Amino acid sequence: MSRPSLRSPTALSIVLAIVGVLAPLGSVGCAIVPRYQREAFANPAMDPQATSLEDRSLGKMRGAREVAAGGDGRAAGGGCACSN
Amino acid sequence: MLLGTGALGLAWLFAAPSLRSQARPRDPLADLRVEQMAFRFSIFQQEGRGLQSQAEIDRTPGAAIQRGSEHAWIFQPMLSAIIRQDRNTTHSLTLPVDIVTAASPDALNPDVQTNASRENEAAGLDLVTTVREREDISWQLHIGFHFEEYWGDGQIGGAFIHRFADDNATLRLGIETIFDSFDPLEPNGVDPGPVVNRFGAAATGSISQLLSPTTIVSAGYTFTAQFGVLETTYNSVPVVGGGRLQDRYARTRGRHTLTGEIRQAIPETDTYLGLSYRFYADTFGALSHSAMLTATQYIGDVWVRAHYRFHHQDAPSFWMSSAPSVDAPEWLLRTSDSDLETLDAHEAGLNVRWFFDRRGALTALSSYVQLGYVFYGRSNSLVMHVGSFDFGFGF
Repeated sequence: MSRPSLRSPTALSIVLAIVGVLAPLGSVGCAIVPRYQREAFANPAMDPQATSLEDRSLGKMRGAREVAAGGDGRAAGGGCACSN
Repeated sequence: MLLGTGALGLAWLFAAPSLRSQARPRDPLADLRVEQMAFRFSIFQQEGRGLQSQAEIDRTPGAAIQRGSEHAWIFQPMLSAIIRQDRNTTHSLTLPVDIVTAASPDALNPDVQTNASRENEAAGLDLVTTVREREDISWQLHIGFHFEEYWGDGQIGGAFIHRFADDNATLRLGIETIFDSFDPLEPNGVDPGPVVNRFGAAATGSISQLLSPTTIVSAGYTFTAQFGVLETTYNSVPVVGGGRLQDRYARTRGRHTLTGEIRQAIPETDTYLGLSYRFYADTFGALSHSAMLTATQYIGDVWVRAHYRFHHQDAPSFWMSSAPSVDAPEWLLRTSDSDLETLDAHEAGLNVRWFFDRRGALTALSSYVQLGYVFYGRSNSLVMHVGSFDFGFGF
């Protein structure tokens, strides 16, 4: 049986995913933007709440047709007869 | 379970403000108001061929293995309301409905199947209550349930939200549980009874950080554990030489999901961009990568928003295109579900939203109407067209 290696595509993709996702968060906890400069974040295009029904509908479509349900803040695998 | 979930929801609705009022004076009742009502109606039209489907295939003995039809129409109205109870308590209520007409379950033996497979109506209710305990701390409770003709589930969860660094960063820690109960329909349409169950629990940690006056990044991790009957019991694997074997999954499944997102505003041109990535792996051996790019351009009070999403997935280790014999042992894990196959998926969408009755700066609660279209296509032949109409009214 071969030993797991970082050179394998699966291990490499996992490492790259973790590094890629976490790298921009190196500055977490820093107070960079004062309150009076946050106008852009209130715009609907920047606020996920503005598209919550659309996100829910398309998320359900993807969850029922792909292997990778879950991870959207809800428990996976419920609410439909799909096995994904 | 479902009644209990509903009772808990009602109890929370009335208890939430009184719990918080121990710490501070309650706001006047006059603060109670609906902040926004939103409605969405979507139509999904699907075509494709999948090995798990028995629809429109040659059933004569000795016929070659074929992919059955996955033709389906889905009509999906949804309604949501955001209700502010007082200065620190809001309720978000969502009522999703699905009406599904699908070829694949219709192909089960019509003489013995329940009526559930012909046209399936489903409805549910989700309530998320958020209580702002302090300037930097909020709590959320989620209660939900969902019914279909042969399926029901109840959901309950909660989250702790902490804002820090002068609201530049937000940490969210949450737990969700879901309990499903359903009839174990077999591939031949027989319901052997009694009902079977599935339980899932998910723990999520996510954090977001402002990087500049126009840039926000976020990342999250979710672990989900599932127990019970996890397969779609009427799905089956075609057998070489004829016959079918019912799908069989392990009774436990662990799922890991890692997400990252960056949103960027370009005020000079009124343009907004978003890029997100999602990694998934589970104990079935499935793995996926998904990336999505969203671009929004304002033209006066109208936005034009386009998105493209790419998804690649590797199938679970026990996925097979056919089984060698109908005498496979019970313990042999198997599926030929086309949704779980190794595949690429491409999705592209465009919508136009008009913000009418604009009062002051636009926010997520502004009134709007929207028309949208999404194309979804997979490398294993499934194609879906989605048309949608949205209406939101801010009070």
